[in-house]
Amino acid sequence: MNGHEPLTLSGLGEPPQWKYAPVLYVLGGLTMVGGAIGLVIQNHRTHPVGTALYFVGGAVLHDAIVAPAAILVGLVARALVPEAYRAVVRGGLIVSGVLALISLPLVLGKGRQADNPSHVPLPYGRNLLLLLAITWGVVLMLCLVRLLLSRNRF
Amino acid sequence: MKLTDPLPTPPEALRVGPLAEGAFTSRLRDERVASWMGLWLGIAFTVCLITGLVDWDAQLAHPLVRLPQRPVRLFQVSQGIHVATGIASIPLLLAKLWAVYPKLWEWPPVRNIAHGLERLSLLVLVGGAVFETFSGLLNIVEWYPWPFFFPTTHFWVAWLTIGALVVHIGTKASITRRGLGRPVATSTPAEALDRRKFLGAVGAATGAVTIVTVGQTLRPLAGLDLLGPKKPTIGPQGVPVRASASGAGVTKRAADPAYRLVVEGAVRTPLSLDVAALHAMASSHATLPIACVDGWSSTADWSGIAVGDLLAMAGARKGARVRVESLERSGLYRTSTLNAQACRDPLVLLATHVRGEVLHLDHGFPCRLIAPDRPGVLQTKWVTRMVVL
Repeated sequence: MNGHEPLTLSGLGEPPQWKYAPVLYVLGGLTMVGGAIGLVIQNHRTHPVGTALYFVGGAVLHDAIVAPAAILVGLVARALVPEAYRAVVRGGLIVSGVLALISLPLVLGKGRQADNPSHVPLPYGRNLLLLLAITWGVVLMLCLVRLLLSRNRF
Repeated sequence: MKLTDPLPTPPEALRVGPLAEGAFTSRLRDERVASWMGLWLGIAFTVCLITGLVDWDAQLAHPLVRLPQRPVRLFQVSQGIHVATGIASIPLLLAKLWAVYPKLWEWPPVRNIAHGLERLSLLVLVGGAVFETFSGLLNIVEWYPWPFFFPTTHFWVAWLTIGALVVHIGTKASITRRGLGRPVATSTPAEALDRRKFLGAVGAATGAVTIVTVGQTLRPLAGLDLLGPKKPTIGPQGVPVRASASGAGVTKRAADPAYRLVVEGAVRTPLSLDVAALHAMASSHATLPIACVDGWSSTADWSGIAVGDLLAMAGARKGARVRVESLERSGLYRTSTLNAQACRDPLVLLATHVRGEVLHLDHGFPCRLIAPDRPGVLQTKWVTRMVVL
């Protein structure tokens, strides 16, 4: 492989740049500069150091923990699940993971306020379990359908 | 030196772990998957930007574009879409980042200066996208494990993110066009099918998170609101509360018999009304949503005094504006201003009742502002003073 020839995800070479791309570079660059200036000017509210920490921290947390964890789960699933059911199980894992992620603060009881019972009022742990049960019920059903179809065929 | 002149490649011995060639094996990480995710995410972020700007503008002292006051659900819909789209972006963003993850470990790390700049803008894009979606998610839960003030920071980081997105669209326009176009023969039919199943699963996850949260603003789906931080039917008098009376520190003063609503400023006859007088005058009705910037809303029948009637009684001139002040002693949302158009609108009320009952303390007893197409934080509660400007 030529070390300086960029390869794309598909293994094809990179197509020539869109002719108006430079316009977008200037527009996007100026917009970014505007955002950065705003963050600095309103520093009494934006706390630039804290913001920078969370900004970079979020990307690092994803790249160092979330993505490798997802890849690991995918590899384990690939090893354990027969090929015919893999796509369905993968779908179940994706839906479950995302539901768990977005409900995590609620399940942990974050944001609760003693003087405002109308905020985060639901039994979120129970609701998440219910949704996960539905998700895996659907996965199981799809796997069964798949199994029956393959039996009939042969 | 030109931006595209090659930079020296680091020694091959460093190319280990995820940097090694062939470290990532999934055939799903494909240009087509990345392109589709990019397209969906680009649409979602654009919708979030526009609806976010509607809210930002509505909260300016002098809005750049004045939001129309009809239909009365305009702001509710806009804000509901903002939060629903933000939540729906989370599975799309994670799938997109998973698909392009090997690019993080590409070799050599920096080919030339232009490539280095592009990667830097990608850090802004990824950092910004993660920051915006997750700070928004924690904000609707009202969990603030950070030192910055959410609205201001969310606003400025949105510009950083959108700027980086515009640059990214520039660098990826041709490759995305190829990815979205007719498939070139780089994958087998089995791989193509698997790819469609993966996209279907991401679509299912997006649908799932939407359907179990959007009921916090979309009343017909309230029964499916299993993971929303609010439910449109739960709260005192069946309406949720953002700031309680005790949280705002007004419990004592709101219940004090010495309470008066004062109308003053540029008026012929200043008014001073106690609770009994307010109730005696409460003859106007409006069915309006209270729509919070946190993405929930709840519609109710409010009754009270039309602000226009009150101003006429005090002899304010036509075209006047009014500053509405709360019993709260401090806080960003202690006061809000009604423009001249709102002051004439018969649906703009100082409400004393909701659903036929005297307002609960947490809903702003003795009286609160309720107006069409107004962010919830500007529907001032515990109103005690109206200054005609």
